[in-house]
Amino acid sequence: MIKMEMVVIGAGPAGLSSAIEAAKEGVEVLLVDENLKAGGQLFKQIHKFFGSSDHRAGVRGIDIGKELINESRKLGVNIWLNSIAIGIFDDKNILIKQNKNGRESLKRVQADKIIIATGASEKVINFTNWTLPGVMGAGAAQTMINVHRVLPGDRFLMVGTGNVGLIVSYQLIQAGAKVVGLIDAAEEVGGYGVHAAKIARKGVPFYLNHTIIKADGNNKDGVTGAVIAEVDDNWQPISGTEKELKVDVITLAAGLKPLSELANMAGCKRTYISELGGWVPLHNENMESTVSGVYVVGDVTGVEEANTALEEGRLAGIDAAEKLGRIAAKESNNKKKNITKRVKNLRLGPFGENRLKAKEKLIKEYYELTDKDCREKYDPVKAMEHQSGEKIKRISVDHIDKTQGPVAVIECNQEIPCNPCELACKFGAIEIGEPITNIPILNEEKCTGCGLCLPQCPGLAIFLIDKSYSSDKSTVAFPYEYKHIPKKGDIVDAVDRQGNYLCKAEVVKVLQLEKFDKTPIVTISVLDKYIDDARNIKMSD
Amino acid sequence: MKNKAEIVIIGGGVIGASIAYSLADKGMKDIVVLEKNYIASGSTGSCGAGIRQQWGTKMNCILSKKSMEIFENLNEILKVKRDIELKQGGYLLLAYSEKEFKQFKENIKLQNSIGIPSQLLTVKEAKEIVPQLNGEGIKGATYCPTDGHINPFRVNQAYVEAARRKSVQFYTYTSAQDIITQNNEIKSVVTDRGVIETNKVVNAAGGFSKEVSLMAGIDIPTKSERHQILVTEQVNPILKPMVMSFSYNIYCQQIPDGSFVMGYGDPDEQYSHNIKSSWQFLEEMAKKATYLLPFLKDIRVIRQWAGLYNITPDAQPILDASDELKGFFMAVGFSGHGFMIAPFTGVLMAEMILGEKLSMNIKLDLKRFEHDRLILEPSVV
Repeated sequence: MIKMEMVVIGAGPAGLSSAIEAAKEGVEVLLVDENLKAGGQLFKQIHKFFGSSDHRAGVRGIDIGKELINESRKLGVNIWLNSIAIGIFDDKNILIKQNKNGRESLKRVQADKIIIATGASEKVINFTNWTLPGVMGAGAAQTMINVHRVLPGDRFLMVGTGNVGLIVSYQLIQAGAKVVGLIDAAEEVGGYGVHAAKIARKGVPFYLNHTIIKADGNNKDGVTGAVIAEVDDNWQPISGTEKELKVDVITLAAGLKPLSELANMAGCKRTYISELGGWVPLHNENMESTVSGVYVVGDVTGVEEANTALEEGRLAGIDAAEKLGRIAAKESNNKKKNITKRVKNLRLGPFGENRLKAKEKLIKEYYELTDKDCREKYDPVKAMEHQSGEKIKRISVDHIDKTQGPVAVIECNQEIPCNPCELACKFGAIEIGEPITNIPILNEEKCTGCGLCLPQCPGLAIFLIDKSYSSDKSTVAFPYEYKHIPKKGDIVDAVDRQGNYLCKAEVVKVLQLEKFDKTPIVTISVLDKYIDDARNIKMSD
Repeated sequence: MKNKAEIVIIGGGVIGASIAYSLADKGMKDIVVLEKNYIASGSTGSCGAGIRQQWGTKMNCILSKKSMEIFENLNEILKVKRDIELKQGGYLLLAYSEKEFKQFKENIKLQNSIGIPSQLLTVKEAKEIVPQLNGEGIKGATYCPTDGHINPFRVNQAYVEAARRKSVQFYTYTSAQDIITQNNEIKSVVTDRGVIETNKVVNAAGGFSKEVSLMAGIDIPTKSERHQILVTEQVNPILKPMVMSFSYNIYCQQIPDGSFVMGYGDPDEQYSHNIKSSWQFLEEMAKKATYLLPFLKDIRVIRQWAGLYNITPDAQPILDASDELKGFFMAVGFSGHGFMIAPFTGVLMAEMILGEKLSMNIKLDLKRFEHDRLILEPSVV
């Protein structure tokens, strides 16, 4: 087993930048990538980047990649290439299939901090013959031409006009291919107009409001053509509008989906946000997931672009270095503040707005979930222990007999100056006396189970228990001062003193008398085993 | 969703589906099956897919033999077309001590007496069936050529399809949350999608059998325990039978698609509903398997997973009707061998529910644990 302070999975822009930021602060980092070369998608991006000078605008992706790799090597980051992280197990154990000089072996690495930067994969759309050779992702075609220097065909149909579809079309033309056309079911081009204009200037037609019906060809020759058609307002093809295009490659630019499987295996909670590409792990503003010490950065947390990925990586790297005690909180906070500001700029404008909202939703969900998990609930057992100084296992109504009939149970054990219950009881069954801060004492002999004390207690601390309801069920009555009052016969969720779901319960009585002064009394029946704990019902939405 | 049913079966695994089919086949109407996830999402879909008839008690031998007869003709019986991937490559059971081998000899006598074609083998004979076997320490073996493999997903789906054709309603992604009773009778089952009135409930909840029983106020001595499995890449057929040993604690089989499926029981496993995979399993399994079948060292693992054994004190199932609550039936606690006896279990449970005479004498009642009438089956993992 190998111990590491930090393991980064994925050496794309997000992974590289987090490794660099952490290594700058002296953190010992292992960077793992399944590819032969680090850099992720940057090595396919031979075009100049948009952005401000903060974001290396005007520099080609491939050059940014080279710089990042050089910097990480200089900082002493350990890089394992052609090595696959096959799983993240308990206690941050990562199994990695390491490939060293052609020899494969399985290594277990335990890390204090894990950065998951696994990126995204291409989505496909299916149509008749979509599995023929020659149908491929636009990203795959881009890898073939820009990384491997292979042009996979002569005549291309690009499906999708987002930035990936536009940029890859341009690069295919640069590589010497003929792009026969771009199609999109939407009525407008999805990506940047300037990218579209580059292709339009080469005379490439855009078939908007169009979809692909089928690929022609066979398994031996691959794709020989494509049939496209116009779509109606419901995205359905309009018959009679079919056009045949002679192509030998159909590239699909139908969007990307985050590769969040490893994060899921590590226990990170996920949510589905379509604007971000699908299932994404929740994270806070420092990119930490719901599993403490596990960070998620780059496209795995929502498909965006390389600059955002770089910034997210930096955030995580700095936060992890801070948690490892390598950088003071004040310095770390300053750095993180600057990065956060820059990330916000990257999400400005009509193209970024949806992503900004989606990311805000993601962070909100993170806090909803983690708050719920960490929230300290008021614990009535602990409170009672604190009052009495005795060890109490649980609060029970064991003293009530199955045949006894209804009887009041007063769950008030703090010395509060208050005595309406004493005055409410016509039978003198409740005694407080002097001083008024005395804890009420119920004389069960005198209690008739009338329930008149229930609506009078301002603390809603008196319940009426009837164990004689049926052979296996008891009832509990309680005041219920909410808007939606249940009806007799309703099946409701009974909850315990902390609001936790206990069981289904039937509402057997609802009393709303004028003298109760808008405090209705609801009676529910539950199995005997729940009667110690059932003290309320869940509010309906 | 229906709000009334003749019977509600909780659990859409192979046991629940098989019971539902048998009941519908016998003419029962208004059968509802509740599955909190998807079909075969629990123990059925995570089992090792092995089926054997080599047992040490007569009851288990008959249960598994009768089930095998149904498996062999399942497509015909259920009128479903999809192949269930039956591969009868046999089970080769290895004995590592004289004592174990002696037990095997007795088992063979018992198995042969009821027509199970198993036989005793020397180490040499075992190596004729599996030439790659590391024979070190092996005292002898038994082999039954009709044992083997079936795809549990396909079997589960086949039962669901056949049951649906007989109007059984399967509600997937629907979980039972409570069983409402009154005066020792069932009134209804509360689900997260509504209440179903019924007088009869079958607990076929696999790893969650205890939780479902408690909904009805009945405590049963079942516990759940994680068992892990791994699967390798697909290679050409090289291993015919399932190779298994109780004492060396391993099972390993090449399934029809060419991959190897293997597992072992971790003696230190805690009772829980945890089905996370562990790296420890991967390491230990690799060591065990490559010792016994050294050629496996060159084959890559592609995936691992875990499922739950629902275990009783004697590692035998509970097939019973409750004495305390009228109309409450249990088909639970299969202790790791539920899939292989699911077909005949369905038939027996249907007979029990309909008050018919059981077509075989079983002593799998709940009361046996109170009265210390445990079933001593020597051949369990």
